[in-house]
Amino acid sequence: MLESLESRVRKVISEVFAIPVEQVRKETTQHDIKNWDSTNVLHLILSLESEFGMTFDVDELTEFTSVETILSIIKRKDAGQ
Amino acid sequence: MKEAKALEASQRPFRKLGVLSSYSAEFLRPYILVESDRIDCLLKPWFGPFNQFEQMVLDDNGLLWRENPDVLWITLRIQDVDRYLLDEYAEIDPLELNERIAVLRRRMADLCRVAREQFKGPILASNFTLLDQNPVNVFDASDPDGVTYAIARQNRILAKELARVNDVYLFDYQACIAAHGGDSWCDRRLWYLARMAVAQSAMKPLAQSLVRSVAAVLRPPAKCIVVDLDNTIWGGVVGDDGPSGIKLGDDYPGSVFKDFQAALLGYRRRGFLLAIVSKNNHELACDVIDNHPEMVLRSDHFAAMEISWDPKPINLRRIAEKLNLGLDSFVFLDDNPVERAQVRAVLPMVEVVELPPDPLGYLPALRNVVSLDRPRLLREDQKRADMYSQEAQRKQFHDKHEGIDEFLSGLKMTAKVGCLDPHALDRVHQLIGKTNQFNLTTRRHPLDDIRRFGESERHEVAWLRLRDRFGNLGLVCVGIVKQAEDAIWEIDTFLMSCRVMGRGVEDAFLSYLAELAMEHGAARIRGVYAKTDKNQPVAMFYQDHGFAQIEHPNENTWIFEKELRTNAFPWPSRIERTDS
Repeated sequence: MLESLESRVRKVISEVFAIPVEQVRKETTQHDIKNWDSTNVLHLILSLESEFGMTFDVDELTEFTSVETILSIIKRKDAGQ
Repeated sequence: MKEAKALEASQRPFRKLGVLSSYSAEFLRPYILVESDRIDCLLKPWFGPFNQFEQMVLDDNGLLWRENPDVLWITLRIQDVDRYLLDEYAEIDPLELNERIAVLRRRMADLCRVAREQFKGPILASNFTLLDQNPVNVFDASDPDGVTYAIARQNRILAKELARVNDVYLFDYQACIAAHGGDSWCDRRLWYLARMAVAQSAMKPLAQSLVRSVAAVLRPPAKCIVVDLDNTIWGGVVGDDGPSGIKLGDDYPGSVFKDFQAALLGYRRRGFLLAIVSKNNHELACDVIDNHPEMVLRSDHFAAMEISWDPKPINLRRIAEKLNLGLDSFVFLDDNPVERAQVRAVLPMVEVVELPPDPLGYLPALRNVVSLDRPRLLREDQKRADMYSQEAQRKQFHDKHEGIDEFLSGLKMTAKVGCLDPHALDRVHQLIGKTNQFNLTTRRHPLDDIRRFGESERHEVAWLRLRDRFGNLGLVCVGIVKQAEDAIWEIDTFLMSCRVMGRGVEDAFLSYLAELAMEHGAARIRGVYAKTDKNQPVAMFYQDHGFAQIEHPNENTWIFEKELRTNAFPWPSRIERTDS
């Protein structure tokens, strides 16, 4: 189950930033992806919202800095629901 | 997203859409790509830095003009430019309120005018709205001096001002928000984090309306709507149910079909031709069309009718021939999916509308046909359908007269010729943009160039308007002659509307162009034939008029010349001439 959550997140990231999914690992952060800018990160957030059917709070949005933090935010929200 | 990236990278033909907005519109990029591709009018957007309108438009060599866009969209939100207007307006007087919105309206109109001087393509300007802002006062509309009416007033003035600038159109941003819903238009998170004024759920509807408007100003509209009869413009099958058994009238379900007919008649009033292709008993079907008391459409509304048991593609071809129109300007409406599939397979250039099984969905499907959007209605457009009906009368008249000469003399044609003036400009531009068959060079000059030629000493832009005993045919010929060498003038453009082909009007117009060249001191006149897929009918035009070929620079271009002497190009005697 967790495996599939992670692979779904990695797939969305690879699509938004147009990079192969193998290049997106759990330890990947905003510094590893060249076009991780403020516009694309919002595209990422909107894509994740549609993928997982959830809405992030504005404060959570500023935490989208690495694959790991993204996973933990989604897990936290999942658990809260 | 993935689809958008593929489109962005693709080598397919596209136009560049320049976007100037008061918020960060960059998020719309994938939606604009995908939605424009869906209507076969791929647009690659370029976004100017937000809120830098004047900087972008005024700087001749700046970012925007270096991008060389094909079409420009300017969108300016009241709340971005005059941020606290809504909060303050309770304490300001109505005049000041009106003036504050008028400032924005003048700013938008000025931006369009300045951009017009720099730029040849069409410009779309969004109108003003606060529908995407939660209202501070739900009773605002009950105050005649309130912000609701102040905005409406300024939008109206804006529409009037923009109509006076060539090739500038209003994009109805307000209607777009109204259709989708103002409450969910804005996502406050996106606004505060990224200055993006449109929520994700609204991006698609906004992109859809926008690309539809852009396509309408970039592409020529369709010309003819062809309808089936049974279960399309009336309910039931007349062959089975009989004329009194079909469903048509003021009660459901007949009312659905009656309204559909009324809508089709509305399109006819806006310049689209209507035609019928139906597999039916001819007499029975005509009996319904002429005599059924509830029919809105009657036979004079149709420019052509093909009612027979022949396959529909064959009948569509017959109509195209009869009306002298390309099949790619046809929109086909038929309730039967099998007929639609056959037309699609045999005549892929015909636009086949996917009508839903439920007739209640016919009208929305018709309204969604992008090629039936016409950004501006010219007087010629409104009269077109009547002209084709007159054409049918002319044909009957033709049948009654034996010789072609006798027929043509009997038409009592009167031609008025003249050079470009402001009244003719839009129509001249329209014909240059859409004439395919009788067009020697098919050069699609943009509006600005046409206007410049009109003012130049070395060019003449000429037109011909035609009347005959059946009515006014309007402006039907356009020509541009230009000085090529000292004593040689070249016909850059020679075109004629296909509805007057076969009457010798081209001889009259050529005579007029030759006369203009002679007035400028030309000793020879040069003609160019540039072959396209569609202008085969005029391949021999210059040879037929005594020109000699002097060059054949490439496989699709031929250049001819002829000496200019008095009476080298006589005006045909059967056309009476009046000059403007």
